[in-house]
Order: sequence, then structure tokens, then C-alpha cells
Amino acid sequence: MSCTPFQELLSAELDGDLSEAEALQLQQHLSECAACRALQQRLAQMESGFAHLPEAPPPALRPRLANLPTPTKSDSAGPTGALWASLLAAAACAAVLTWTPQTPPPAESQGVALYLAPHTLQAQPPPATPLALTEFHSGPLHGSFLPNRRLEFELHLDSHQRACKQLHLEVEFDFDGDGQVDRSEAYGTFDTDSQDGWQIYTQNQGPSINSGELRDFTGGTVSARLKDASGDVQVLSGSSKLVLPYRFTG
Amino acid sequence: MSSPLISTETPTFDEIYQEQAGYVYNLALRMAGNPSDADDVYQEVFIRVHRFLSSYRGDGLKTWLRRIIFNVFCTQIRKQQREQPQEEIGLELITLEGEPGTILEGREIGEKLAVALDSLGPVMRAAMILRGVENLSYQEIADLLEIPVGTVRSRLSRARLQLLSKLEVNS
Repeated sequence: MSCTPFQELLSAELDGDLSEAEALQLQQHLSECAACRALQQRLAQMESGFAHLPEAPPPALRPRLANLPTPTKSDSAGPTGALWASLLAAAACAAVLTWTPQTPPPAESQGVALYLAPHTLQAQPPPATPLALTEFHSGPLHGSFLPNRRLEFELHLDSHQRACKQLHLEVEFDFDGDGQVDRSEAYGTFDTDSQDGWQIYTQNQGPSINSGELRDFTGGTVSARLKDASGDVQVLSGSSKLVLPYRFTG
Repeated sequence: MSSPLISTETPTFDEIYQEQAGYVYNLALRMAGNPSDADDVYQEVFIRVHRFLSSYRGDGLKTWLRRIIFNVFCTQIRKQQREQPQEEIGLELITLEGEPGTILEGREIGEKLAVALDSLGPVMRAAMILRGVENLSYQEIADLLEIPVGTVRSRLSRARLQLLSKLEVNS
């Protein structure tokens, strides 16, 4: 009798997948076939090798991935299905992210929020007001950079009946207040729709393009600009904010 | 902080990367069969982890990661098969060419087995890795590969015979 059908049974035996009838059939064959008995031993010996496969250290993530903003626990609690669509498809348009209204304010260890107020970025949330502005500047800042954190933002935008395509946020840092931009960050583009209602643009819209290093503030400033935004776009103060990866001291 | 493996709280991307990079890379390496393709799988897995972290429901991080790794691996295989001839997934008659006897033991057999695994075709290798390394049941492998349980069984049998043949030839 051919041994071929029993080879599959020997394999299934290693996996504990033999029925009672199959086990009996195999035992009977093994009692008569020295070659299959030897094969049974050789397969078992080989199987032990799976516990000894060599392990290799993982490589570093490539810069494209390593530089992307890191999601936080609060991010992961909300629906972010289209998070990286623009990264993967290099497309500017992605589904609108929604923000859980109950999202707690970031803890101190996650940075400090600066709210968008008329022409300024300020620590205290202003009253909720639609602003037809695209530039916001902070006053002098003193604080230490929190390593391992990145800038996060939440902008509530509405362009009413006129959709605005590919607007994006640029943030510039002047760490020492000398008027020179020491670092700039440009974020993935965001499209507003042609319906009334606030849409939320966050850092998760796409990868950021950064230049310069983050470092401590010593009397420096931050500027935020909504680029390529048409005049119809409004930003909602009181809810819109940048969370800077800093612990401020003044 | 508790391990993401047992925590009911959704881990952060950083936590997953810190704790699971080794697992992801080594499974990718076993699946892909070479460091270059493994690195591509590994990078893509973490892109998807970042992208889909919100869909993770805390019901087994390794199961979730394994599915992502496998999906990325399948995407890579489809791409390779568009560019290369289709893999023969085991209809050939397998003959054991080597001399029966002691193969090797311990670490040595692990290293030889890794080489032999890398020489299998990707589909057969995937089945063997999911069983031998990941210790999945036939049903779990069938679900992941989207093939009947009976096919899993026959595929594993062919994979083992091929592996044994290569091991005994090389030893």
C-alpha cells in the first residue's frame, strides 16, 4: 500500500488533528512500515526546531513613519478611520475626522494648550466665536520642551456653502524672540465641505513637514497660519487650540 | 504601566512599538523569507497600526497584530505574483532526498530550519509559520488564509515534507 496518505496523517498527528479512526489506521500502518516509523521520528525532530528559530533585532522605523505625529490615548478613543489616507495615497482629500466632545483637556505631561482668539494664541479659552481670521500669534513664551511629545491641534472650521480645498496649518516657532523662525511645521491638507457646520481639522490629517529642531522657549513666540484658506473659512474660537509639547514657566 | 497584552485599555502607538516591534519584525521575517521584504512588511505594519489603532478593541493585541502582518504579507505576495510566475502551491510530488537519521538539535536545527523555511514558497511558508511558530489551530489558519480546513491540513503536510527534504539534504 502507498505510504503517501499516511504522510498527511503523520503531519496531522503532530498537530493533534487525527480522528480516532485515523489514529487507529495510522498505528496499524506504522506497525507494518519501517519507513513511515522513521519518518514519524524525523518529522518530530524537525518540529522541535520551531522552538529554536533564530530571532533578529527589529530595524528602526523609516523616517517617514518615525516623523509622523504620534496618536494619543484620546485619539485612539475616537473614530479616526481615515487617519493616514493622505499618507498612503498621497491624496489631499480624506474623510473628516470627528472629535469626541468629551475629550478631556490634555494633561500637563502632554503639553499646554494655546487657544485661538482674535489675532492671538492665548492660554485661556476665549468665548466661542466664529473668527474670519487665518493668522494667530502668541505673546512671549518661556518653557521647556517635552521630549517624545509633538504638537497637536484641533481646529473647528466652517466654510459654509463654499467648500475650501487643501487648506493646511503652518506653525512657526521663534524660540528666543529674535524675529527669526527657528522651526516650522506644515500639516496635511484638509478640505471643508459646502455644508453649514463645524468640521474638525487635527494633526492626524496627514504627515507634517518639519524643519528645524524643537527646543526650549526663552521669550519666544509661536505663530499659526491657515494657508490657502479662502475668505469664507471661519475658525471657532474657544474650541480651536494648539497643544504645544511644552511645560510653560511664563 | 501594565502590559498592552493584558490591558483592557487601548495601548498607544508608542507602547505597541516599544513592546511588539521584535514580535512584528520576526514574524514578518519568517513570513517574508528575507530581510528586505521583511523590512517592507514591518514598516507597513506599523503604518497600519497607527492608522487603525482606533479600531483595536482590546481583544488580543497579538491576534490583531498578526492579522495586520498577514494582510500586509498577502498584499506583498500579490504584488510579487503579478510580477513573477505564480507559485506552485504543492501539487508536485515530494520526495525525501536526504538520508534519514539525525537532523540536528537545539539552536542548530533552528538555524537550519529557518533557512529551509525561507526556501518554501510564500503560501506554504505562511501556513507552516502560522502553525509551527504562531501555534494557531487549523481552523484559525483556515480563517486567516481563507481556505478550507482540509486544505490547511494537506498544505501543512506538504510543507513539512518539503522542509524535511531540504533539512536532510543540507545537513
